[in-house]
Amino acid sequence: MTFAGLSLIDLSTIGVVSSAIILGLYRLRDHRPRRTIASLELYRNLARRSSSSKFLRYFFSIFTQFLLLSSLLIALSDPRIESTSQNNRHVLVLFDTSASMLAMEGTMTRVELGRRQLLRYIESVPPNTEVSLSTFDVALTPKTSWTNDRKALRSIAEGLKARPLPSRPTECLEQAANILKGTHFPELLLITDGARSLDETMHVPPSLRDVKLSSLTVGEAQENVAILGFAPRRRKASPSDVEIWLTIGNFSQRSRHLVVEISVDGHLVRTNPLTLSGFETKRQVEILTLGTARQLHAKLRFDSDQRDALAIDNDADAWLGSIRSGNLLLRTNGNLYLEAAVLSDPWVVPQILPLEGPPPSTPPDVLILDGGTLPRPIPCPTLWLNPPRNSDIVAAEPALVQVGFDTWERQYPALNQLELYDVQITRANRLATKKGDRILAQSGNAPILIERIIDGYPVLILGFDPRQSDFVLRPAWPLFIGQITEQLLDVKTPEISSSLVGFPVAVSGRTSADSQSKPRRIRSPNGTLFSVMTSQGKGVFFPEELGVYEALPDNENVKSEFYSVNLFSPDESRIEPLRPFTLGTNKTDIPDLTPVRERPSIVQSVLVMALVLLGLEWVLFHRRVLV
Amino acid sequence: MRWLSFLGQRRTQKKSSVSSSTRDPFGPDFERRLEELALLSRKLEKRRQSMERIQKQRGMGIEFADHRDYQPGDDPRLIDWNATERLEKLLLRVNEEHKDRKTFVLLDESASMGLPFFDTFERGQQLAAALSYLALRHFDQVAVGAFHDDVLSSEPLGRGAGRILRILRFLRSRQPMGGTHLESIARKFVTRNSHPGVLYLVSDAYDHAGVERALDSLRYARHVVHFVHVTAPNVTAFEERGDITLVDSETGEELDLTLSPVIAEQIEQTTLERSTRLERACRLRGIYYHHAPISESFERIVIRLLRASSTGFITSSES
Repeated sequence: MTFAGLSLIDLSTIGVVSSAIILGLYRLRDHRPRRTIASLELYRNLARRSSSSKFLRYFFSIFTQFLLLSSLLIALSDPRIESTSQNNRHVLVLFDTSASMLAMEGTMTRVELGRRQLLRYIESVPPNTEVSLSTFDVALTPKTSWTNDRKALRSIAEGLKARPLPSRPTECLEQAANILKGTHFPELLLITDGARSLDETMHVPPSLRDVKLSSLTVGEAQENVAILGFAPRRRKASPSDVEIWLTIGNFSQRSRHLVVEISVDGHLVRTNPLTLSGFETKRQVEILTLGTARQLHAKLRFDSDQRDALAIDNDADAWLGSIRSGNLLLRTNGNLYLEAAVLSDPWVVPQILPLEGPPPSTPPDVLILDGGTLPRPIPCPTLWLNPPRNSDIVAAEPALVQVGFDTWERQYPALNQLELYDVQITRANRLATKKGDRILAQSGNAPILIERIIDGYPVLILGFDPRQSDFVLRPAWPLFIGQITEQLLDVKTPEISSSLVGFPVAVSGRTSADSQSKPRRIRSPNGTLFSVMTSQGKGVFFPEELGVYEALPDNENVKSEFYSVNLFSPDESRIEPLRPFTLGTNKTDIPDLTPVRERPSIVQSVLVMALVLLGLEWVLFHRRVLV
Repeated sequence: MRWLSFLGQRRTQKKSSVSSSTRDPFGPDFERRLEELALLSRKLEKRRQSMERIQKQRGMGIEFADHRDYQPGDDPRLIDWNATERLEKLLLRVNEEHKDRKTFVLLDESASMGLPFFDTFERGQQLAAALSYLALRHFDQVAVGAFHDDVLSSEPLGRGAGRILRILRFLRSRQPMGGTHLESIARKFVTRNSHPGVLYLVSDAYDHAGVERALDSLRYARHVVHFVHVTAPNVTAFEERGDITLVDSETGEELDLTLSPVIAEQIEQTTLERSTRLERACRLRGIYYHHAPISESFERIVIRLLRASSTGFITSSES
């Protein structure tokens, strides 16, 4: 039994204290005024007549007062009788807002059906149950704290919307387990369409073993086709030619006749018919000559007027890097491998000069130093190979012998897609780092490749002579030189044309020597602007919409950048609901959605009774005063 | 609200409480009021002079009054032999014997007379003083007494208007105390005063044993008794409605009572019945009953008393 937050002991204490006060007041009241009269003879008979009822009236009066007190206590405490097993239940409701919830079910989306289910559940929540509402897609987002306020829950529930995001149920369940930790009678309720990501292969946190699991599923539709990959890239040999990789999947049993439309800068350039059998995924490679065009859009549709249930995965965007060349100055006293790598790069105009030679005829965009000393000030971004041991960039420790790349920063653009783990290095210098340096590769704990900002330009320093390793004999060598050159030329890698929604997207920012964070403004596909903080030329944002994001230019040499964001999630596109719904290997219950009848508050009725008692007591014991 | 009502009642009690012991019952103009009363009483006195003022008793006096036939048992010395010889039958000579009338004033000084709200004792003192003064002005022998419990204190008989000062001093010295035992007091009084006289008994008649036996004793002694019944309004006249505890002034006994309109009405009725019952008891015994509510001035009460006496409201015992 609950008493509006008071324990039975607290309520009893209040009752005892109040009763003591009433008794005390009655004792005071019992000290009635004394009147000395001539003789009692006159009154004795009268007293006999009234004494029979006086005793009863006295106790009836105090009984009425106690009844009044009890009524007020009951009214204020609002006691409710519940079964012990359901005391203080805590139900965490996880509402699926992932992309699959945008699928149409007739005239409504799944998220609208889910909202209905949620509202029905809220109406069925018993009074003693605390509910917390959270949404989940790529992450769990708490919407309410623990509450029993149905009105607040309804208000939140009616505002829930799905987003074109993939779901990561394992991570979300981990967070849910943390939320439920330490609560009484924990219960987890999933309101979802039963996406395939929630199947029996998923990992359910062990801490959810003692949690009662229940689910409310929505959706029946199964028909869906989707673009699962859209990757255009410029061909190295001919940057005007774009190689387009397109992956399309059919997630229904029936075969489908489809049409793929490719638009470039808003103009339809190719229409390809396509037939997919049931549950077939097909890849297409298309080569188009697009020139300097950069924006590509792919659209998938049925060859008839049919529409599938989920429309957001029928479109894909891609953004190609610009075609741009630059002047590269290579200062070397003779390095065949380096000269070959530079000359094989079609993106640059190379100029090869000796280390101590005359200045170049044209100012370089990129400088590669093969040993020697770094000119000060440096004229442009630089790659410095094998700095001499007497320079301050090399540590005083002995040189490293017979080493390799033990760790390297795989996300660094120049090292992307390079496998360096089996490179054998005969002799290397340990580089001396200082604050602000970025270590890109290490041998053991010794840095052998770092990035340092000097005179406002990035300088990449490699701690060994490539000829004293087998690096130059590997296919990774020209790619390494080419990617570094492209990065230093500020040329975007043409292969990276698309990002996934819900996952971080790196955005470049202004590089400055003071390492201070600078904001970069981003325009989302729907036109809204937001800022991203960049530090040392890099920043990250998490896209939540499909389409093209634009990083706006600032005033200091940073130009516009575009990022296309797509869904490309087979788990979300496979909208066929999982029936029966299981969470991993755990079966889930279906909660009882019978609305809990709102019990009328007894406060008003008991207060009315108290007022009646007060009036009765007044009439009985005060009427004669009024006469 | 209700809990605090007793506080207001207590305040009321304090406001109305007056000590009877500190006040002079007679006041500065009391003598003047007595003189005016004496003048007024002379007119009434002429009308009843033959009956009351001089008491003529046929007996051993020297003034001839009448003859009557001899009856066996009469004193042979009273035979008028001359008349017997002339009329040839035994005749007795009857003489008149003149005696001064004795007036007794007894004041009830029991505690019931000295209530804090209505000082019936003060009114009793005034009435006793006034009646004594009138008697002295008419050359009566006057004795004033006061009684409580079975104690009877009295001044000796005396004559002359100047004696009033002594009587006032006596009355002023009395304080209400003790209970009321009228029967005992009546017996003591009869024992001390075997010769009948006029007795003014000033009392509130609150005797737990009743007043009837006392009245019988006084009647048997052939006193002309005037019962001056001093009454005060009952508790309903000043008490607020509600629960009160009544305390008997003489016995200290307590009684809880809830004063409701019905109870108040019953108290009024009972008070009236008591006075009526007392008056009836006096009438049956040939005793003057005079109601003396303290709401009336003592002059009015005395005048009313004198008028009632002069209009022949006399009991058979006096005749």
